[in-house]
Amino acid sequence: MSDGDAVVAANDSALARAGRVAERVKTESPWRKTIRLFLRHRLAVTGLVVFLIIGGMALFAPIVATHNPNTISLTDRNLPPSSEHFFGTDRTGRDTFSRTVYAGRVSLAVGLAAVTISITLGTLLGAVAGYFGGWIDTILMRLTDVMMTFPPVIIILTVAAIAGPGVGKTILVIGLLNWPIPSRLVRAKFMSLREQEFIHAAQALGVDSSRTIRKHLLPNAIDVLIVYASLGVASAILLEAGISFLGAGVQPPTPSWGNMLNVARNVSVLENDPWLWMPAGVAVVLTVLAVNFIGDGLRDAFDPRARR
Amino acid sequence: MGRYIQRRLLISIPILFMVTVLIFTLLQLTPGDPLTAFLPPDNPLPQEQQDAMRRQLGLDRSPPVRYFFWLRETVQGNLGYRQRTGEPITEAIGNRIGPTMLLMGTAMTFGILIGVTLGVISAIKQYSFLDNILTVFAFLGVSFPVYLAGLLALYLFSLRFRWFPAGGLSTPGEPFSFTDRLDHLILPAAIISINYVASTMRYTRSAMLEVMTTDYVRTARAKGLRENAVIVGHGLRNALLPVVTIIGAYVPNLLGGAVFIESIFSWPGLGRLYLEGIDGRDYNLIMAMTLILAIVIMIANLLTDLAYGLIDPRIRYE
Repeated sequence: MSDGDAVVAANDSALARAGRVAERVKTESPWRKTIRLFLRHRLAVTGLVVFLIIGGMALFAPIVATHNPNTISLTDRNLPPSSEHFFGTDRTGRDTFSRTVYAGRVSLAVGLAAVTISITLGTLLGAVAGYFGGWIDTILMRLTDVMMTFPPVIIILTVAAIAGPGVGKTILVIGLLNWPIPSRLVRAKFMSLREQEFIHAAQALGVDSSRTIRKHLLPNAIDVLIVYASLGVASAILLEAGISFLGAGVQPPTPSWGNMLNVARNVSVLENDPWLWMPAGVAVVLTVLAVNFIGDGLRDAFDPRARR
Repeated sequence: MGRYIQRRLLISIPILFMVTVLIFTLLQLTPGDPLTAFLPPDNPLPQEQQDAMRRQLGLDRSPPVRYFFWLRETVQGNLGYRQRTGEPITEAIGNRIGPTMLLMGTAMTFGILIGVTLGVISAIKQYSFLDNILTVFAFLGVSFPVYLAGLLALYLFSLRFRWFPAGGLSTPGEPFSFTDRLDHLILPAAIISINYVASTMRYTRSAMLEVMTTDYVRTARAKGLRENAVIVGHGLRNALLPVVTIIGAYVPNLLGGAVFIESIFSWPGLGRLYLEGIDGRDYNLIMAMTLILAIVIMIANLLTDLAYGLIDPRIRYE
């Protein structure tokens, strides 16, 4: 590292330190304020509790489940709900309650992993487009134009059906095709931040682009990303369930809420064995509702106009 | 205005071109080709015969060459034939477009009318009991996936209570009648419109809340206008702008909703046709339908922008 770089780094961290000192002088840090505002949002806290319960059940599925989700038992076929089988059994004698619990693992994992991919990719592209502008920006934004021409359901269904089934592929398809929205959010935020004094100060000090983006711009865009992440998880879970319901996506015997709903496309199952598909449906709605409430609470908590 | 429309249409040509390239590339990237999807996996043809068929179908040519073949025919209005049945694609789409337009048109019209009405009521009576109920309903409405709502409705209202027929366009074996069609239409249309009601209501509500605090609304009240006239003439009129945006954004999702609801209610429309195309890897059908969808979406976007000018005279297009 040359002397010049060292000076830059020192000045840069001095700048960051000054920011932290200024924050401490104020009464409450922005994060504490956000958390406090979030906890005041009753629906959001309810959503968080419900989400944690569902997530906990999925995480501790081996303990929560009463049976092995894949054990076929020819003597226990098509049983209605009972104290032994809370949600009855399916046509091969598998326990629906245990399958619903294990399906939660798959559905939540698909949602979280897909959003991680789309946010990483979207942030990367949005940051580059928003910070550098110019032809990079033009190309990336035209690309998002084209991608956003299509409803996500259609393009993801198409690619998922043709790419073939599987948990990994489903995550990749949903993750890789959903980056335009986060990239636009990051880009818009960066474009407005780019012209502010603290960025000019960093640039005047000679801080290089990648450090400016990582240390000065990204932390300021984090609120947008967190709100998108919560809503993105909800929509990814719905997308997984939707394409698996139609027979693409996650395939049995691996249970997912979507492919558990798939059996209801058979009218006789739909009519006579509601316990086979209703639990998965309730799980999807509860999860998505909870995540949407959390997202709503986060948006309000991050909204500077609502800060009191 | 004319110049503006002309320019917008010109811009849309390269975008449409890129859309088709993108879909074509996606289809190319996937393993297998139309022939492998066509042949039963347990009983493959001898390799020579497969090669001969590929040559005959032009599948041995390089992807860019095949893309330009496709483009040349499409520009001339020939969308090709369906892989399995050999039916011309324009004919297939023509046969299926009516039911989808009937279903989606009904759902959108009612969804938007009810949504706007409820949104206005909810905004005027902010934080009232009714407003809270409607807010909860809106959250449920946007969180309830259309396939689950469809399954539940089919289970409850068709199979359990037997109020409505369990899917289809009409009762088999009976001559067409308006009441019969209506009977089949109500349930799927109502399910789709729930989503539209919920999101239109939320947007209308927040737009109305904002408008009702403006100075011109206060002025309108001060000059002695009746409250209803203020709400409709000054409030709603100005709140419609953001609402029109969201209505324009519904169009891209029409086919997405149709795919689910039509497959649940056995509705012979474009959604089911698209599913058949995907299941059978009918590349011609997928290309044709995505292209038409892209055109429809672009027209919808243009109409949305033009509608701004009608609603808000301050917006002019040069």
